[in-house]
Amino acid sequence: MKRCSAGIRVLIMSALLVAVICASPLILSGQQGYLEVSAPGNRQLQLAIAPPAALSGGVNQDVARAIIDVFKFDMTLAGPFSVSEPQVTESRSGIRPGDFDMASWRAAGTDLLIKSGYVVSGDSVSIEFRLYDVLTEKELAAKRYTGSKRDVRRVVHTFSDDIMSAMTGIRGPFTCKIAFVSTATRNKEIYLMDYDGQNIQRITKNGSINLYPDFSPNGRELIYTSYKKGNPDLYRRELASGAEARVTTARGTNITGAFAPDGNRIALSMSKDGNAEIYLLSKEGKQLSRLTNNDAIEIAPAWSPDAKQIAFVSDRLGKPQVYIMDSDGRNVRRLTTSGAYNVGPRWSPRGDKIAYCRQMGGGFQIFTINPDGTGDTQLTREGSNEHPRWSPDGRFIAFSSKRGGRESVYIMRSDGTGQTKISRGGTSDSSPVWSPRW
Amino acid sequence: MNPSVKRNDKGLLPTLPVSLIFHLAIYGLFAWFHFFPSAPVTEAPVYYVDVVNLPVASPQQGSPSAAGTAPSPPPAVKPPAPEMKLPAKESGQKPAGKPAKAATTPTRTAEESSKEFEDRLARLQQSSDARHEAAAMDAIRKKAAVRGKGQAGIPGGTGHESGSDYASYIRSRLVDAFKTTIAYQDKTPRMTVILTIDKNGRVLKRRTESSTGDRLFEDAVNRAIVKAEREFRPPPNGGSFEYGFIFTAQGVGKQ
Amino acid sequence: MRKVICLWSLVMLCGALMLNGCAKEQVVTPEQPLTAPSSEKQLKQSEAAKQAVQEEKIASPAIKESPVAKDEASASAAAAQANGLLKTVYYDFDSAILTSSARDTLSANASVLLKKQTGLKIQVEGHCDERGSAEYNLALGERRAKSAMNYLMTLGVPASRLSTISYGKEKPADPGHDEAAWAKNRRAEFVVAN
Repeated sequence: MKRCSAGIRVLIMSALLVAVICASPLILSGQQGYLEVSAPGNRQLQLAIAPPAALSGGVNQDVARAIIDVFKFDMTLAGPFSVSEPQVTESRSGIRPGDFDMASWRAAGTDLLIKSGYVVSGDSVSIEFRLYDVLTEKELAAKRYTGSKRDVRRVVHTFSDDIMSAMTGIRGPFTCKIAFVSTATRNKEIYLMDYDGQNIQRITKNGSINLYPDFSPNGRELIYTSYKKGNPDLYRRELASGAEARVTTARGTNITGAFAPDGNRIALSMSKDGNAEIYLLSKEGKQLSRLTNNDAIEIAPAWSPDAKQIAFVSDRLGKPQVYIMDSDGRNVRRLTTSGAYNVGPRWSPRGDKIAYCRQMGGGFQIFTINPDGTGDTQLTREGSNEHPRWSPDGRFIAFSSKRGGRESVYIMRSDGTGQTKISRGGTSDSSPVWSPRW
Repeated sequence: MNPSVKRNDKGLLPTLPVSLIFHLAIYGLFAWFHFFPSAPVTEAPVYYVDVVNLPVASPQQGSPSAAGTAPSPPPAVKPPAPEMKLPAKESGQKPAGKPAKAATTPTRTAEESSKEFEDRLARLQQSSDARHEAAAMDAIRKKAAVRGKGQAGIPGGTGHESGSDYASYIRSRLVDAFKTTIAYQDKTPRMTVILTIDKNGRVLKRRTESSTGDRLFEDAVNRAIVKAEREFRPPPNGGSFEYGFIFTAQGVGKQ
Repeated sequence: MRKVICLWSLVMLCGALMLNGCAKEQVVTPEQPLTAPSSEKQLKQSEAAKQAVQEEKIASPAIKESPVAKDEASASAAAAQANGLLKTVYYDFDSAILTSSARDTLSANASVLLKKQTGLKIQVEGHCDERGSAEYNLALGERRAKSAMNYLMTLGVPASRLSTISYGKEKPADPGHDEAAWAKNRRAEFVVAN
């Protein structure tokens, strides 16, 4: 036994030795440290839109133009891209990988390239999109859609959403709608349009005053305040069917309703018990709880995306200011400390910012602030700007502005850049709200 | 009790050499790594050390994510110690100091309050100075940690691995390429990539060790590598080369 | 015992190997593919996409609205009668406090309601100028209407004959954008409710 174990011992020793000796050079050839690679600035990617190709059948200028226009608008607003339509002569002009010459696009200074092709037959249109990284010669996204001619814009928006997803990891909001209040009929009715101002549809037709639309989290329902029965009551409407239900019946103001992220509850300012206070209702209108209770005005509740907190406006210290409370009404603290008059808070879907507006020199300007009260940042400066509402990806903010004289719907990036007028025509449009993804 | 003790004694004996060998082996490993004395200390790798890379607000205008970070003002520059000789010394400190004096001297009338004010100001200044000093020191330490590893080199190298000079050469290629590709959307993007470069100077392997998850930034890093690769010279000694590179956006994430 | 040694040495050996192996084997994620894999696969989504395209159509809602209350029209007719009698009350900027002239006006209105139009039910409409936020102004308008109503009640007008509504800045009396217009818009009107 002893001899045996001695043999084994020798074996083990030698094995260990061999292991140690063999392993050492392996380690040493491995990577030894880190060097920092850093560069200044934040560059925009050069995004080129290739002329849409007719894959078979005739050329259709309308479709081709729509593809380019929509991409240009979406991608320019997006932010990370500088969009162009460079004139590049290609020896082969296919749209599939390998069917065209990437080098000529690279020579034109392009980083990203959108190739598209369409087939029009009768009313039906089939469009194929491909996004390429010109430098690495890789295809980043590819989709084909078939629809009617009316769908072309939405189809292009859909691929824009895909591009954002491929490039940033977060889907774009370009297929979303914006609901808003317009005085087109000289009353205040609620309308719906594409986020870029196209395809305007009228939602309410009651000839009265309709205010403050807000989408349910699934985008299928809209709540708003309407004077249609005299008193400003809250209504809920199913967009697809047009069915409408009255949510509140109590007299007094029932305004600034906000759907909870769970889609089952509504936070609402009601004055049924004397003055405007914030209540929690089921979406059918049953009162679940009263969240504020004092002599001051409390309006404009705004849910945090995790539904744990609600920002709101109160004038308990004299002038309206933004406060935050837990969603059971406890733990109230003041959010805005600078500016005499701050209203209209809205929590970013990413949870990291709250947009609100501040009265400044006779008008309003939009700010964002961190929920802990730091990072107060002014986003707008021109004209009077109100009613900020986030896009579902938290990248953009829709708002209303009087900078052009008449009040209109605008959109901008969440850092205040890229402010663009969306609503067109001679109406006065206000209270925009960006829909969730459908 | 007794019998068991005896048996244990007997049992420990044979394991002793094994343990000895093992300890020796471990010691050997450590020695090889860190304390090998006869290191053929080749010439100290040439490093130009930018002393402190103090945070700077992103100068980029109009580009959306940059503008997002711009509003946070760069902290007033305050050199942590005189021997640091920061170029920003004059511009940063004097303006902070002068107005303070100017503000306090004329208000001698109300001595109590002015003194109080002065005290508070001094305290404030002190605390903010301390903060900046800490930040600067931190930055240096971080740098040193990063550099140190590279600088330590591989004494007793077998010739198989390449020296750190090649690493800084690769770094300079990457920096140049990265300047033309950098883009990000998060506030403090950071990505650590281990590059393996074969004996022809091609990128054989590229693995992401860690990333803050900013897709736009990751793409920019990948583009930089693809761009830089075209200019890589083969590693010295005809071997392959592996090294880690930490990509960051300049002027952000250093606070 | 031999077994124990074997086991131990095995464990150690493994340990040693792992120690050495670690540096090499770090989670080697393969080079991250930039692209979505195969285009052909993705194109198969076209069917699904087509579906989505077709199903997303928002049925333009067939709207069955009850036309806006006839009673509003008749109310305004009745209001026309009372208009000459019940005077509008005006407020200071961003305030619902009754000025002395407002209190005089309200006293006059109260006496009309108590002496001449004893059966009339009145709705007090609160209004604001355009400067505040629309939402906050709705609440402020209500506060104005309530302050006027409460004053009428202290003067003896029964609560059962009074109600309030706020229009915020939605119904300006003067569409102008100057101080004169604003002063006219910060008001409480008295409208006959039936």
